[in-house]
Amino acid sequence: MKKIFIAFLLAAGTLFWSGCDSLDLGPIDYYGTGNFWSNAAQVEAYSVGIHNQLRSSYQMFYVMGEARGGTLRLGVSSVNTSMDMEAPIKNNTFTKDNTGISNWYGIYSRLLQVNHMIDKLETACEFLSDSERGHYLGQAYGIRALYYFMLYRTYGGVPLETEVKVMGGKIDVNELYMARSSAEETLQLIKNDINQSETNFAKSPAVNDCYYWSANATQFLKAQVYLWSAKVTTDNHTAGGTADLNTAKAALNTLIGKYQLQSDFSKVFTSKKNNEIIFSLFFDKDEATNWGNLFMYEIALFEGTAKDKDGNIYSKDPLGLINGGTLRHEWKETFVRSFDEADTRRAGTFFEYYVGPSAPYTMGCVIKKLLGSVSDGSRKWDSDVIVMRYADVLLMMAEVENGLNNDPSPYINQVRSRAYGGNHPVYSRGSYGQNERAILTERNKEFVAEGSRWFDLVRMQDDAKKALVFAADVNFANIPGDAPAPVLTEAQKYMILWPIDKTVLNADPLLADAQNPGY
Amino acid sequence: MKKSIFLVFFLLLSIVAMAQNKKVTGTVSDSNGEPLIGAYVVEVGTNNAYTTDLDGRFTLMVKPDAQISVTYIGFETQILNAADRDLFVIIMMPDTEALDEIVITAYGGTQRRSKVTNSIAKVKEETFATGIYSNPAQALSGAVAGLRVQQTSGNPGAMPAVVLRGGTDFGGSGSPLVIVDGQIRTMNDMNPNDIESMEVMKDAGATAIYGARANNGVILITTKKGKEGQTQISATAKVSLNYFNNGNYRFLGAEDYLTYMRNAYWISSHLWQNSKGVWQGITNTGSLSGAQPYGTGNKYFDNNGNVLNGNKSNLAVWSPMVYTDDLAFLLNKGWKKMRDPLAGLDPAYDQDIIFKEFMLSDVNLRTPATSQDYNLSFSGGNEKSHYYAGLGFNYSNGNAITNWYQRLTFVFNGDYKIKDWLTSYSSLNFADAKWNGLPATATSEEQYFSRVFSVPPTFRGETEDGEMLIGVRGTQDANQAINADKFIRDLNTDKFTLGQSFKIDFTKELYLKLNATWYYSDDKQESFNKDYMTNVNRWNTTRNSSAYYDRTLDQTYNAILNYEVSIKDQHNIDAMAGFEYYDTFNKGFSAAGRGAPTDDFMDLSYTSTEEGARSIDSWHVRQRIMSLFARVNYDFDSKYLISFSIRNDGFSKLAKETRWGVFPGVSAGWVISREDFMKNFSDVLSFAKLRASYGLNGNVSPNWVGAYTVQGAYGSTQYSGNKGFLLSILPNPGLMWEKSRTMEVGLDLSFMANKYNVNLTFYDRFTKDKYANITLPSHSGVGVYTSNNGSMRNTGFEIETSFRFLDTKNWKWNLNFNAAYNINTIVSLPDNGLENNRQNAYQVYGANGQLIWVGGYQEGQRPGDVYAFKYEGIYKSESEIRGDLKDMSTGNNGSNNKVLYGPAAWAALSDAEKAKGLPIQPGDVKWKDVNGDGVIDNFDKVKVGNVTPKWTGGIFTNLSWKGLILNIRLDYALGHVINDTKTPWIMGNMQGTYNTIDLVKQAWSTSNPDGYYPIYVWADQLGKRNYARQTSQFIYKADYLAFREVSLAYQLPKSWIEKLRMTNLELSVSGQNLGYLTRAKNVFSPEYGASGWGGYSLPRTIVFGFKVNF
Repeated sequence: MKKIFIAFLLAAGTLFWSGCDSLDLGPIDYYGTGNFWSNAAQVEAYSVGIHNQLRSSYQMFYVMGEARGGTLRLGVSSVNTSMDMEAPIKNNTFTKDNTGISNWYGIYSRLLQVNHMIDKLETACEFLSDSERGHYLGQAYGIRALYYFMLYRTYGGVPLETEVKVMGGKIDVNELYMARSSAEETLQLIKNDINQSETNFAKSPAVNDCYYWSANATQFLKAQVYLWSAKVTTDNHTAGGTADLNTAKAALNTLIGKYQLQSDFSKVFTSKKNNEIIFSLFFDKDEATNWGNLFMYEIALFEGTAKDKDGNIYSKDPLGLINGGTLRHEWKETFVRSFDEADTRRAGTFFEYYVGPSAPYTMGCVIKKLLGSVSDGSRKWDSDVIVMRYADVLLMMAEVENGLNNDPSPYINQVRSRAYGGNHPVYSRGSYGQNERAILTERNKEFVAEGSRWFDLVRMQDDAKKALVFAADVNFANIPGDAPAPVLTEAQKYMILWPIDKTVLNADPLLADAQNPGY
Repeated sequence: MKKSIFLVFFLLLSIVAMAQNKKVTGTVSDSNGEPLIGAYVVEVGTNNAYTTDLDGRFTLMVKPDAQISVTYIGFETQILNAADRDLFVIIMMPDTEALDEIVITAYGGTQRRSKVTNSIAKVKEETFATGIYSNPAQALSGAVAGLRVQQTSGNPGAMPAVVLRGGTDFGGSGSPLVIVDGQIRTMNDMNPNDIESMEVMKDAGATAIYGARANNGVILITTKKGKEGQTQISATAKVSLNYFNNGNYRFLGAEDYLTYMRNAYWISSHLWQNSKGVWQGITNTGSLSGAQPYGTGNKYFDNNGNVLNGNKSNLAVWSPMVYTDDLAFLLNKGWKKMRDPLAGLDPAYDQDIIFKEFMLSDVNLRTPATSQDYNLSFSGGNEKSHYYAGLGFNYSNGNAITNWYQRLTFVFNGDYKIKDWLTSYSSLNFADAKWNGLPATATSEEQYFSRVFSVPPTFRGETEDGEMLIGVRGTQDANQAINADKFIRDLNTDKFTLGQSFKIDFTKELYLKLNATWYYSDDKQESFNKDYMTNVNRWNTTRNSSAYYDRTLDQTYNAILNYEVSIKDQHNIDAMAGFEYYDTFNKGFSAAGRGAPTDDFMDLSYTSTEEGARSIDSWHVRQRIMSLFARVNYDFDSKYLISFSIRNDGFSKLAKETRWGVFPGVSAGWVISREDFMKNFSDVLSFAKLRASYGLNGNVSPNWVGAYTVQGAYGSTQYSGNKGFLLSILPNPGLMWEKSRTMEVGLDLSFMANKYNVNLTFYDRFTKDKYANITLPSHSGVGVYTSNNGSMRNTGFEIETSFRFLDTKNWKWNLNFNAAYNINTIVSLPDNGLENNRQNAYQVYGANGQLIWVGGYQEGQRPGDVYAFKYEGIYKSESEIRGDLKDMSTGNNGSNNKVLYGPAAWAALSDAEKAKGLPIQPGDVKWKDVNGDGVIDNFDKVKVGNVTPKWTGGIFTNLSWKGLILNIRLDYALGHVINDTKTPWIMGNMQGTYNTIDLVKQAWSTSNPDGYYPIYVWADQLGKRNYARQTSQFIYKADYLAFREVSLAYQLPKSWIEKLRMTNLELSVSGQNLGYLTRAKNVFSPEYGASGWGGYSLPRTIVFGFKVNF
């Protein structure tokens, strides 16, 4: 009996001490932080991940770049649904409590991943060739510049995070607090990142897949950034004028001729990866769908109520949406009517219909750029989201030329020509302000729902170099017949920059008093 | 040699037996003279035994100098000398209740109640006896002081959340470890009928022995075993009727709906007049004549005079139409006619409306639903072996159509004494569960019972041919019944516990027990969607099919050495030491596809092979824990008691450096009543014990730390068809255990020969190194990071009492009452440089108009406070509104947050400015302007309460007269509020077409100027946010008393059932979940944790029971 007892004790003891190692367990199906960044395939996959994240931010282009621009309908929609983002975004009634977006629109969590990638590419990953490293760094710096550029145009100077400080295994929050950098510093970082992106891309052969960030995307962004820098004064950044415009021009020149306009405007949005696209975000029914449904009519509210322009009630869903939308975003009737009937962009952009008990009916519209596709008897909202395309290169070039006191009209007319199918009203050069207005009008029609209008209003100017955001004549009335008011009054000038939400300010003592002025 | 000795021995024995045996007879009864049937009478030291018959009689041949022992469950065993008598009249005395009950402790230990020095509550078997439960947790409401059971779903398969002493998470969650026969598992799919005893171990003195997983307490469940001398067959059957019970929710009928809805549209389009005199609002009246549930543009015939089908045309879904004589025939088909409620307002509405009423709840509810529960068990035993086998079956229907739960269980426990020194124990516990939830198109319980039921009652419901209609809002808000049979769901879990133990008795005092348990938990789910209607004339033909298989195997091996000795009958020592190895491995795979050519088969091989149409996945997760532990209980003369335990745990989840933790516990008791100086009071104070305990527990809650969390992770993503990776979890190697230390002192008192018992306990549990999220600044890119930098405290007081008021031959009356008071306080949070290291706090005006930080988590504060805009009544006239008032608050439910103006401020605005705001008018809520500055903004909030109850407890009483037994169980919670978010959504007409409830009749209107609720308008969130903001009007004090169970049972007199060879036959009828006494009437449940968005209320149930024993 005693022997059994001793044997047991020995066995238990042995099992115990040898068993300690058996507590060392690691993830079986995925990488822990200890075993990543060890081969080229992982780096490639991380680049895929970065693009996946950029895609999940696709709404920022519309929300930050267009919704405020005065073209979106206020009140209820044509079929009586309530509108998303009406206040404070679409009607520009921002206050400290009502900030429209929060937490920097989630962009810093994207930046964390990009910063992590840059860090690893620059300090580790010896297995990569210079060419491979250049390619990935070119992408990473380009995408980081884009994120910061979105923040800069929205908030001005922001905290500049370029390192990953949360990977160390222990975090002292006091070390993470960070004040906002000045506007000039922020813009400088963006310009530096673009420079880094260019230099790195130069080390590797060009890869042109419009679903991935490329050297051309960097040139496009560079043009946008320098155009903005040249024309928009923000806090301590004073508009830079000619030097910046020349930089923008050089960037655009690298793109001119490399892409071409689609002959048919609507094809730009229905045929994926066409040769007008410089950079777009991939959507597919099996991988990711977008918010196209929020721009489409709701069938139950549409059928039996909406009419064609002859007053006949639609009893069937004319766009074949099958599963309809909820119509949370609709463009103003006055805006739609600002398009010529002969301009193919009107029918290529909008499906128009009419509502109301009796003539004259009021117009309603849904956008056709986000129609997606149909499979298995239902509609999938999987249109690609286009971020950069050639028509924008041409219109930016027009703006640059105008700023440099050259004739912008050839570029305007090139875009118009496609829009009218050749037989277009030819634009001839006017004063600086007239040219700006003409370019703005062209941009309005070209880039509906592509996140351009608000930024255009802030950037483009009248003869006195005052931003067109204060001009009533470039805005659109909510109710047909009413006189348009400017998007912002001079007294609301502070509102060009968005307010920062309380949660952000409360969570960092260095930001506690860093609200944008005016709020 | 051996053989001959045996032979001699045998001869001697038989000679003795033949020569000297004598016959003894007798009766066994209780103190009331009732014969005890089945009492076990045995000649001490032999296998010679007899079980009393129906009259309590026994006959036994014994040695002349024998002793006989009589045992019967619930009574004190008697040992009598047979040397000088042959006839016995034995009166059994009940085991002095509570004090001498046996309490089961960790790792197979037992302790007499009078010697227990910890807070260990025993849940009595009868708690589970009369009601119908799909799992034992459903029966625990109010059963144990300090155990908060949240029954917030009427789904029969729902598992209530169980939290002990306020939980150890800041948010008040944290559930006890559940151990069933030594195996960690959940109470899911357990048959309550298999439970012999359930002990709830509350203090760390008791639970430290479970170390790293036990800081939220331990629930120890022991399944039934066979007993020596009791051979029994037992069968029970219960059937119940479950009635839907949705509190105050009465949706309007069609006529009321049309009246209120059309008026709401009218009001919302006539809010103010611009300078041209044109009415402006937040909508227009256009849709009042459209094909809408409240509109008159619906059609019965198409242009060619054919009857329209509402599943084919949107024009025939809703019923309201302008009445014309050619529709008069509908009045004979149950349609009704009314005057347009807007008739007086505009000549355009000078018309009659014809409509039909159809309530969606009529076809989407099953009330009463039925449930059935059957149990059959066999048990028996002798000195060498014991046997128990139990079979159980439960099938419960829910009130939602398609919702049911089925459980089949089997338990076997057997043991056999193979050698004097070796006993083998084998057990098998099997549970097979199948279930179906709400209809697959329902998005959640909240939505099903609120959104779906608020579909307008002017819905036609069916076509001319009686075919069901779907409605117009896709599947989630549709008539759920229409597609219920299109979704094939095969959901099934199987749980097996296989246990084998050996007990080796080295000496009488020392034994070793070796245990091995395998616990399989298998989850199999298959689903298949046939073609189903998604909307009017629209079908989904995706034919999604998926299969999922998941298995977790838990292996527990332990070895426990036990030493128990009594020296001179004064020094009692009970010591134990052990080693344990626990390994849990989860693996599984799933596959899914779509696009099969037909919708007849769910077999995945039929699905399309097109790119992206199929997906597969597999997963593997392993965790291990290794432990050493020991415990010593010592008492001197049952008077001075002390107990010490310690455990050392190593957990694979944590990094190597932080993996091992030591958890000690100590407790002591002093039985004052055994002191000489107390003897004089023993008539009154029959028992008194003072006890105290102190202990340390750990926790590595899976809610915070997964199997590999501390190692960080790169998670996979996809883009453009390529697999990608991103950093998904930050590495966190420094993470340690949470450590909870609990101190408690208690007093156990019994009076009048233990007729009245009171137990008082005061505790203080302090959890340090508590997992706390550090809120990182927004620009760091990460929202939160888990650290060990928090600490919190639960402080409370528990009282448990039991009274035996009556205990006579025919009458018995017991009353048990328990109450627990608990407050959680946050002691520290990770340093973040902010005042009180606050997290997610916000500012409101304090008493003097200064801004103060409230809400979220803050050091020194109790979490869960709710702040809201304070409702101070309804403006009855414009003169009551401050002229320059400005309301710049922000609302919820997609509010557009327009600035609201008092009359004078409004008048001063231009038309363009007015278009961005709205005027405050009669019928709107008067909000408290806390700082009196004439501006209502988000700082103007006041505290309205806390979401966590301070007091919880239960009341149980049992009254019997002869065979008639009445049981009543009540439980209560006091001191919490519930934030009702659903009622304001419905009364604020925030969907815009849906029905509302009859409380709308108490809303302000020109004809009801004293209304309590604000004006009923279309889409309040686009208007003045009278409903669409955090409002005190819809935050209720939710103190409740729940009528959990009332049951009446009748045991047929023994003389009647004897002839059927039965020992017991009992019939019962019970009411379960009868309702709540509460002021929070508009929520589906006032219980803590119930969603303010509504949900699945507990059905009011009547159970008919039948029980027979042979």
